Order: sequence, then structure tokens, then C-alpha cells
Amino acid sequence: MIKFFLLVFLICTNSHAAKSYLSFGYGRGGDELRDATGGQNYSIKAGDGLSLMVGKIITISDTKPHGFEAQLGLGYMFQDDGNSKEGNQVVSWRRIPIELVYFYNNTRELFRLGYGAIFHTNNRIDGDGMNASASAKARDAWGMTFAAEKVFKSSENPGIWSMGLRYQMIEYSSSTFSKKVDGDTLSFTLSALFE
Amino acid sequence: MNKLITSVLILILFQLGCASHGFNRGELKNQLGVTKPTFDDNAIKEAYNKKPNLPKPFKLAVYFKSPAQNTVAANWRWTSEDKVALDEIAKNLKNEKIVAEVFPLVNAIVQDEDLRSLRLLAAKHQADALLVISGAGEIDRYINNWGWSYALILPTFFVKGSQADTLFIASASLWDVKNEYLYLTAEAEATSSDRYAAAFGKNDKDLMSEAKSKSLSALGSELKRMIQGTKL
Repeated sequence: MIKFFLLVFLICTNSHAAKSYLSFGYGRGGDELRDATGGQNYSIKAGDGLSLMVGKIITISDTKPHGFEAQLGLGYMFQDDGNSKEGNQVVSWRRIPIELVYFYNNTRELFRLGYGAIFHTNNRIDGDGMNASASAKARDAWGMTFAAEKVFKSSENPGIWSMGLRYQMIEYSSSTFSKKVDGDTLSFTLSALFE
Repeated sequence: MNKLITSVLILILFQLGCASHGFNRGELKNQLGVTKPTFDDNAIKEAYNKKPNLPKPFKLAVYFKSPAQNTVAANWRWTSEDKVALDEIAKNLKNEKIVAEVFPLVNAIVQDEDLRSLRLLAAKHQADALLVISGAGEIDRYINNWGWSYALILPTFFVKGSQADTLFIASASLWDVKNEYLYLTAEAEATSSDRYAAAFGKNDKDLMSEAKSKSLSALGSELKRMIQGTKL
């Protein structure tokens, strides 16, 4: 994974234009966290969560209509268990994702396909009240991601945005978990690209 | 069966590989224009009635028209090397006593680039004729069949899977300063092609400069031929 990051970084230093992006996503999937934290009264899967990502898209090959680009982003993912809000037993699952995704960008048919590496850090479960024992910090985790997006461009509106699906494969572990937790997720994403 | 499917997919990808979208020559021609003529009978009659009246030898003002802005074509600029390229032609014309003096109209003192404004400026310099040189260029970047290997990232460093074709069209028109009689027009185009690995491609400026030099050189030869062949 580290080699993947280094390779793409090296290419980016020789590359051309950079655009910025802002992305929202919502994903579902993975193992129930409570099965690893001791069976408390909450329900959050390891892959669940709303995500917000910001970053840069660097053009690797500005050829048309078949181009290639690298997307480097930093974000925030979180999921709260709404049912546990009664009686102040809120449990939340948060992590900071870093992604480096390599995309094939078709500028004629307006779609992107990508694969890349993800790194989740600062992974923590915070529990209140009766679910306080669920609180845990998971180790930093590496994973892989696959993406498919449809790009929308308008000649009248200078903005570019995209809508797509992401499949993410990652596993979390912790000294307090009774087992490794599968965080595989399928997410729906909505992104805005800025020149 | 799997091998067959894989082979078919590879064949399809190879067909998609050479996907140059070509040059937009219509857009380039629009950028070369010096005037926007009105098409009516009176305009045609008026143009037809104009007569040449250049003294021999005559004083020639040369103007390099600025590149069009806000177009999809790559940015480029006229350089001092481009202007030097036409000095040889000017020298030959002076030797043949066709031209008495050749001097440039500097961009800094030109406010509008329409033909009338340029003629007025040339007249203030006491020029008899005005040579307007314009240019337009476009770069088409696409991947060849090897470019599909870029999906694996590492090949972007060493596989020459990218192609950049550059087209530059240079055009010249010679006008009478007094009455806008059009003595001659000349056009020359040049192309250049560059195959490169994605991580190390030449930038637009360098590619355009190469094609521009070739085009100007060809334009110079064409101009010389036309001036010598035309009764000015």
C-alpha cells in the first residue's frame, strides 16, 4: 500500500494541472461493531457512515478522451447509532480517512473508473451511559477502494460534478476488540470538482 | 471461454486506443481572420473597384496579429525568433528593389486589431502597404494502444503511450494602406508529432513553438514566391 502511495506521489510531481474536489458519501456494510466490543446495546456496522472528503485531483495523462488522474483526499467519516440516543446511551463511530485513488477518466462519455488505497486513522468508538464500555480505539488501518462515477458537465455552468459508487475493503483491529472487524462498505458518493 | 472473453476485451481496448479527435480547423480559420466581411452586392462592387497603387519600391509595415483569447487552442505568443524568421524575406525583397523599407508595427501601440485601425497606424508611419501575419494552433493529445498500460500506474514512467499532434497555421495578407486593396494572401501550415511517456510529456508551449517555427518558415517561402510572382 505504501509503495502505491509513493508511486502515485512520484508521478504527481511530474504531472500537470490540479483540480480540487469536495465529496459527500454514505456507505453501509461490514461487521457489527458490538460483536467485537462486548455485545452492548447498539447497532453500528464497521463500514457504516457519512463521509466528507476534500482534496486534489492531479492530471497524470491529459490525453483525450482517455485520460488518467490521481485523486488525493482527506476527510471525516462518522456514524451514530440513533436508537441508542434514548437514555443517553449514544454510541458513535468516527474515523479520519485518507485516500489516494487512481482514475481512468473518459472525457467523451463522461465517466471515471478508479482504484486506490485508503488509510483510516484516529478510528474510535465513543459510548455513553450504559454503552460506555463500548468505547474503544481501533488501530490505523490500510485498505483498498474501487470507484465508478458518472461525470456531469454543463457548457452553461462551469462546474463539474459527479455521482458514483465506491466499494471499500478494510479491516479494523484493536487491543480491546475480541476479534478483527470487517469494514467492507458500498457507498454512494456525490462530488463537486473545482478548476 | 475465459481466454476468448479476455482476448475479445483486449481487442476492443486496442481499437479504442488510437482515439485522436483530430483538429478543429473551422475554429482555427476563424482565429486567422483579419476582417469580418459583410456579404452584400455593394461590398463586392466596392472591393472590385479598388485599384492597386503601390509605388516601386514601397514602404512595408508588418504586424503580427495577437493570438485569439478564450479559445480551446493552446496558449502561444509571437516571439522575437518568429519575427527574425521573416527578416530574411524582407532582406531579399529589398535586394530586388521591390521594397524600400520594412518595419514592424509594435503591439504596444496598437489598440484595436481590426484592419482599419492597423491601416491608420501604418499610414501614420508613412507606410504604403501593410502585411498582417496571423496564426492559430491546436494540440491534440491522445493515447495510442500502449497507453492503456497506464492503468497499472508504473508504465506512465517509461511506456510511450501518449501522443501529441500539433497543428499550426500561419497566414499573411498584404493590404494597400490607402484604399484597402488586397494584393495577396498566403497560408502555410505545419504539424509536429510527439510520442511520450505520460509522466514526462512536453508542455503545450514547447509543442506549439516547434510547429509555429516550421509554419512560419513555410509561410516565408510562400510569401516570397507570391510577392515575386505578383505585379505589385
